Amino acid sequence: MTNVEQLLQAGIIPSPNPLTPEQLEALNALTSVEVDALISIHIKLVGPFKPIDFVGTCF
Amino acid sequence: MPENRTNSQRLRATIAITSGKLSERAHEVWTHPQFGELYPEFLFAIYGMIISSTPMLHQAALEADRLAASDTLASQLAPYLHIHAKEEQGHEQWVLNDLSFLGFDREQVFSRLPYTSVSALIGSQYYLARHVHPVAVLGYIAVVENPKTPEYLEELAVRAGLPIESMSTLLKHSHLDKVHVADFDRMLDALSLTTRQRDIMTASGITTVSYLEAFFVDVLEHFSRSADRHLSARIFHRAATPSLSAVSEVAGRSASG
Repeated sequence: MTNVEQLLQAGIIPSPNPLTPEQLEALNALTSVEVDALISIHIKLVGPFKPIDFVGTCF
Repeated sequence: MPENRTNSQRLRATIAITSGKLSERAHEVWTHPQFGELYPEFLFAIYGMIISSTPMLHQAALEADRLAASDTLASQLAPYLHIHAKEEQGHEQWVLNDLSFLGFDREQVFSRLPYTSVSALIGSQYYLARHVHPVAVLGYIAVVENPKTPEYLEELAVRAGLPIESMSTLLKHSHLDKVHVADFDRMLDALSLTTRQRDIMTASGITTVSYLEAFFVDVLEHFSRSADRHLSARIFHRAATPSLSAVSEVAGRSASG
């Protein structure tokens, strides 16, 4: 099972899948520990999302 | 996905993929139509983070010292963590000064408990640094040191009707953190990480993203309750709130110089 399939099954990627092909490729490059971390903390992955959007989020 | 990415590129790319919800919540705070009214609550939340993150970083540095004799990565991390903890020291005073400028006494800050999201955010880093490996805090740093630009903050002050003097914490970080981010990436890219060490760092970053999203939700929820006197007994009120004469008094003293 791919990372994306695991994340879909766990509800981390919502249905219908809003992520871009690039995001899905990046998720499939994560290690199993990183995927477990996403699942165990119940992060919801939303999209479409550009990395630049994260700039200036915090303080 | 290219595997020739540097450590910092890989970490930041993973944070970016997972930060969609965090970005949405943060955006709701930064662009809130009543940002001027919400801002003291936001500063209170930031105070909770800043007052606890410096000792947490210091603890991670001490843990790296403890492991250094038998752990190459810990010996490489220790100097950076000590320097970074020192760089962050005393910034909580900036927050208190900003709140004081707005008429909020520091006793009001001290009398409140921090958000549970803040204790989870910082507490998880204490745990990871002590019981897993201090490399974990690099994931935390990569997420939280991500400031707005000075230009954005200046525009925000005008839009929200806030005196720029009350934004010293944010403005100073917007300048300082640019340097910190460059230092961080340089240090991280010089490390030779095993897959396990990298996993610890990334998992910590993912944890930070999640608790930071909860932090912004807490800011919004606490502010939304501030209009209800019954629900908001311990939430900040505007200095003009009649029932809080002490707040008004402090505001009056500030205004008269």
